[in-house]
Amino acid sequence: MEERNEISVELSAISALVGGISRQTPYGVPVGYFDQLPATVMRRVGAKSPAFQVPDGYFDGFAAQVLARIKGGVSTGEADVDELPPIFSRIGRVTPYQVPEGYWGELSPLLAVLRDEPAYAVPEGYFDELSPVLTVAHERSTYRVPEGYLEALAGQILEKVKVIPMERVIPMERGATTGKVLKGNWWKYSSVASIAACLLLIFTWPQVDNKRGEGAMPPDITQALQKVSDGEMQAYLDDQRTLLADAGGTSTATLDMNEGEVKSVLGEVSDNDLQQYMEEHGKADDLATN
Amino acid sequence: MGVTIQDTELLLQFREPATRERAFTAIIKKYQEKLYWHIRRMVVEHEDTNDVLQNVFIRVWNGLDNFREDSQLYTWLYRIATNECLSYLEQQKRKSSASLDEMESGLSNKVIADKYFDPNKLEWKLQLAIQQLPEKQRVVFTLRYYDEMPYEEMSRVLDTSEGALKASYHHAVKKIEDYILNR
Repeated sequence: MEERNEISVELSAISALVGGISRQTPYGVPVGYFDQLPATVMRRVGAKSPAFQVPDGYFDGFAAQVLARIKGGVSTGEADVDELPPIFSRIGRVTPYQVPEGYWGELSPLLAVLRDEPAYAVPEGYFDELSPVLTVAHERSTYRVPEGYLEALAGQILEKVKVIPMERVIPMERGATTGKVLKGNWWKYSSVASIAACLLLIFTWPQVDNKRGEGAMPPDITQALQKVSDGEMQAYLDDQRTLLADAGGTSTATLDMNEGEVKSVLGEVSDNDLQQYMEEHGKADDLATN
Repeated sequence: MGVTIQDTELLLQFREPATRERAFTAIIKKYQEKLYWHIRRMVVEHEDTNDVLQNVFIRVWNGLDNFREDSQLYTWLYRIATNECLSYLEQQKRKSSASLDEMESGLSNKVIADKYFDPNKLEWKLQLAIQQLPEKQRVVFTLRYYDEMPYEEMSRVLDTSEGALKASYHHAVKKIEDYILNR
């Protein structure tokens, strides 16, 4: 704002008469006009007055009050009442709801009965016994097994998998029998391999013949084999196993054992022991290591 | 009058829907009296002034979103008020089909009709003299004499050069002096 003196000097320079006149505007304004004008204008601009009014300054400290209560936790003491917005100080604390006449008088005996007789009851002494039961419960197994089951389990499993008892495979004189086992195994594997090769050739021969058109089996052999029943083949294989067992002498290994099973049986025999045995009793080619 | 921080805050609040009405109410309260007297000196009667002033604030409400703050809020409000005054006077002339002289005499009659009018007081003679001025000179004189507005700011309100405003003000003062001395 330019200084009044500057304007006065300018005005006096133009007209001393006009410069000497009071600048008070002589018009009057109705009382309260400026107090009402904002509301009048707001109505005209279409501003919506809120349906519910709040006291002046209500929202100024509202956020701070809420944050203070959040940080300090919720309590129900008088201090909280003091922190409430001023409007609450004007509200009575009497709840406006009504209850039927005599309700409180009837309610009190009812509550007393309910307290003395709880809805759910437990046998007398239940809680006294509960604690020792829980103490020993973890030491007792919930489930039981037939007598002698666990003792016989190992034998049952060995019988099912047809594993030779260890004492039959590895006698006390391990060095004297290991070579026999190996020799017996060699005969066993050779026999099994031969029989398997024959069976494979017999059952796949027609397919090979159809696919390649060469290496066909003579018709007389094929016809003869087709006449052999499965039972006769099984009897033949059993006879051969008996013969092989007899040929093996002291060998007690069964034909059903494969190489993995043998290694499993000899798992406790170190390579050094096997090497030493073979140097003393056999050839290096027969050596099977773990 | 410079832009206050409060004006800036009011404008920010006005642009927020939640505080829009509260901010505009604050703007009205802050500038209503200045604008009222600026308008009253132009249109004389309170009822006319009230109509014009309310129209001014309605225009402000509708245009404040587009106010880019290139000028001060105060300057912008005076510009709207002045234009609204001139438009109102132009409408009155059209309605009455009166000539310029008749219009000026009509304003003088309104001054005389005021219940507080006292012909012996220079203040009232000055008001009669002001009503004899052409509208543009009247605006320049009242803004300078009563509102003490600097020429620089007045040039933004009236979109007129400072030199032209100084000359206009000089002529207005001389005419007023002549009116007071010769009436």
